[in-house]
Order: sequence, then C-alpha cells, then structure tokens
Amino acid sequence: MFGQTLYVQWKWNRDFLAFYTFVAFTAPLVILWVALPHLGLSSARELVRVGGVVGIVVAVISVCAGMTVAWQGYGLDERVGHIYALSLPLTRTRTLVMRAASALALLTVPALGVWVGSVLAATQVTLPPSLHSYAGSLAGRALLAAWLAHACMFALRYSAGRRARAVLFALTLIVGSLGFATEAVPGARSTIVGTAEFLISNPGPFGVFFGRWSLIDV
Amino acid sequence: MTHAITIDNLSYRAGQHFAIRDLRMRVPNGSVYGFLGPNGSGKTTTLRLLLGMLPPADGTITVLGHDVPRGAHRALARIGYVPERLHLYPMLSVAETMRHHASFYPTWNASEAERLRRAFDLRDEQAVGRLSKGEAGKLMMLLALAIRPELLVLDEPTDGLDPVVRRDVLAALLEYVSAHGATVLVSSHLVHEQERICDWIGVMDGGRLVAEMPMHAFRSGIKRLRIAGAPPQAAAAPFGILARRAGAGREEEWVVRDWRDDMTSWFASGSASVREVVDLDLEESFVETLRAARDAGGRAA
Repeated sequence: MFGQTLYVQWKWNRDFLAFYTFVAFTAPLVILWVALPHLGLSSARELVRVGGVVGIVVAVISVCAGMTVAWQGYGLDERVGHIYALSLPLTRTRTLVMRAASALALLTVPALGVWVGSVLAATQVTLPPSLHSYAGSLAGRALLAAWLAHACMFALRYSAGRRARAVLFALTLIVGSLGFATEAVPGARSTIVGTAEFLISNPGPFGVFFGRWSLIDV
Repeated sequence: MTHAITIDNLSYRAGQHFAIRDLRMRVPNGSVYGFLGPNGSGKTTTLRLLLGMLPPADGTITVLGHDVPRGAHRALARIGYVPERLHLYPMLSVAETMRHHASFYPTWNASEAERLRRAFDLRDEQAVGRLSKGEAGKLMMLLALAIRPELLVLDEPTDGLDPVVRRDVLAALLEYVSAHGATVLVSSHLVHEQERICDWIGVMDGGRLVAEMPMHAFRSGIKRLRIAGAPPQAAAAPFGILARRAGAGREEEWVVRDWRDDMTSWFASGSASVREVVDLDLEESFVETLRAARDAGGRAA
C-alpha cells in the first residue's frame, strides 16, 4: 500500500525531483569551482563565507523542492476531484501519514544530491586544520527543511483548496506588512521581532529554515 | 428485510441553491436499486454522502452495518465504486492502476481482474489519461468488480458510452451480481436501462426522494385513466393521484399510482366511469412522478 502510494508520487514528481537533485548536486560544485580561483588556499574566512553561500543556495533549493512536491502531489488529486483518494478504504489520518512518509522518501533524493555534491565539492579544497566540511549535516538539514516546507505547503493546500494561491499571496502580504510595521510603528517592533525570533530560531517551529546553513565551518 | 444502505433524515447543503433535505432511503440487501432523477437532482451528492466523501449536516447513514462517515473506511473496503467521471491517476498505465488499486483491497482477485482486462480489451501499457471514454468506463468497472464487493455503487456508469461498450459493462456487472448476490445502487437518468436491470427504484428530485418502491410496483402500479362523467371527491380515492387533466370533451385524464383493477368500482360510486386504463412505461411513470412531486412542492411553497 505504502509502496504503491510512493510509486504514484514518484511517477508524478520525478521530473521535478530530477531537476532539484541535479541542481542540489551541482550547486556546491559550481559555487566552489567559481570561487576557488579567487581564494587563497589558506583564506579560512573566505572559505567559511563560500561555505555559507553553498548553504544558503542549498536551503533555497530544499524549500523549493519540498513546496513543489507538496503542490504537485496535492494537485494530482485535485485534478481528479479527490474522488479516487477519498474512495479508498483508508482513514484520512492514515492517508495523510502515508503522504507525509512518501514525501520524506522522495525528498531524500535531492538531499542525497546535496550530500554527494557537497562531498565532491569539499574534496576540491584543502581545508586548513581549523575548518571542517559538513556535507552530511548540510544534507540532513536540507532533508528536514524540505520536509517541513512540504508539510507547510500541503497544509496550506489542504485547508485552502482552490484558494491556496490567494492565501499564499495574503500570507506574503502579511509578512511584508509586519516587516514594514517593525520600522513604521515603534511600539510594535519588540513584539513582532520577539515573535519572529521564537518562530525562526531553534527550537522554534521554523528553526530549521533559518539556522546556520554552511558546507564549510569551524 | 435487511438493508445494505439505510439513510434517515439526511440533510446536506452545498452553496446557496442546493440542499438535500430529510432524505430517507432504504436499499434492500441483494437488490439492484435504480436511483433515478434529472440532472442536478442530488443523486451524485447522495452517493458521495453515503460513501463518506462529504460530511452530512444532519441525519444518519449506515452502509453494510457501518456508520458513515465515521466508519466509512471499513465500509469502503467492501464497496466497489464507479464515479460518473474518470477519477484515476492519468499518468499511470492500466497495469499500474490495477496494481495500485489492488494494494488497498485484501479481497482483490487478480485472476478475475486479468480475465476482465482481456474481456474488455484493455492493454496493460495504455496510459489512463489517454483512454477513450469507453475504455475508461470499462477500467473503472473492472476495478470495482475485481475487489469482489458486497455492494456496488455506480454513478451513471454507462453515461456517454457507445452501445457496444454499454452492453459489455452491463454484462460484466450482471454476471458478477448473479454469481455473488451483491447489492447494487446504480444512479442513472437512462430510464430504459434501469428498467432492464433494476428490481427497486428510487426517484430523486430537488434534493428529495420523491418515490421509492419495488420496480414491479412502479411499473405496474402507475396508470393513466380516461374518466367520463363526474367522479367522486378525489381526496377519498383509494389510490394516489399523481396528475389530473382535462381530456377530450367532458372527459378527464388521471394519472394514478397504487392502482388495482377492482378500483374501477370507486368511480361508479359517483356518476363516473373508467373508459380506459393505460399502462405507462417506466419513463412515463418517472416523468409523471416527477411532475406530481414538483406540483406538490409548488403548492407547499
């Protein structure tokens, strides 16, 4: 049952997964390949900065991959009016758990791309003794971020249905307005910043998105 | 008589203009129950409610002994469902669709599925999204039958199919039902098709079940009478009056239900006589039942 659910999601998402896996694999290699001629081999600070750039690019790719798989996966059922999924002899909870598990399995593929690309990229440089490459941690963080992004997007589509685009746009507007309010309304700044910090710092719910993403670090 | 489906006081509202109100319905075990009604009468919504796909606003639904929607997943394991439109994943092939479907049903009969695939002339590698309407209808029927269901819920299963495909699909359905004694609830507006296969009939209109009876009662109990003279008070009639219209000359034309031949004597209690009793076919009975329900609804409003 789970295998068939996974197979359906794989077949529907495989082009996007191939794209994100390719980008996730090549991004660390390309960034280091472009940056290396400009760096001294012993420039630790520069290497950490380039490792951070790799981390940010991997974060963006992971979030995009998670959101795309969720949007696509939900869209597949929406195309057929959700009739098939609802007519299967499963509770809604079990259906959601299987979807979440299959998403985790699928998003492992681009995370593996991150890991292999990062390992290969790290072999291009000789790191000074004070620095280390964190390919495994970066790939693990990429997987968690992609899965969380998937869960957020799936929840949005599940709750908002056909109005998902409008709700997404409204959420973006709200976040933008709050950002503006921190500057324009002096009294609101501490509340907004405090709430935002709780959300985006560990162990806040979105901490995995905003923690330290880096391929090369001390 | 036990019932495969029992619905009481079911209410559901979708938007401003459509509602199902106080629906009561009984589908006897082992029957082939035809669910008739014009487009937009609420047939598909009722089917989705009894499969647990939509949450009712009020009322109770019991399907194969399970409360729906709470126990819908248990009931669904014993139900073969064919919706009105293709509901399968378009990028899967026929073989992949069969494998996917089989994984959810422990009762899946692989050899029967393969036999039906050959009989329906479906190729394993055909993509579902590229199937013709007839092929899609056959595949959905195959999936519904291969799980060996106790109850088949079919929503316009032959609508838009050519006569050859329709015959194949109905033949497979009847073969299964006669072999396994399954209950069938089949929604359609193809009245003549219902007449051929159903032994119970329910007529839906405007979100209400306006008639529910055995097919033989529906077919033989509704008559058109040509009445001459002045009949007694209609309110005292021992039969139901669906319609009453002026006929030629001083005659009247009545459409009645629950008619028996010995009831002609009732007219003689006035100064009227029955000149002619005309059997209505199912389609005429259906139209007259709907017309009467709408007239009654209009008067009530």
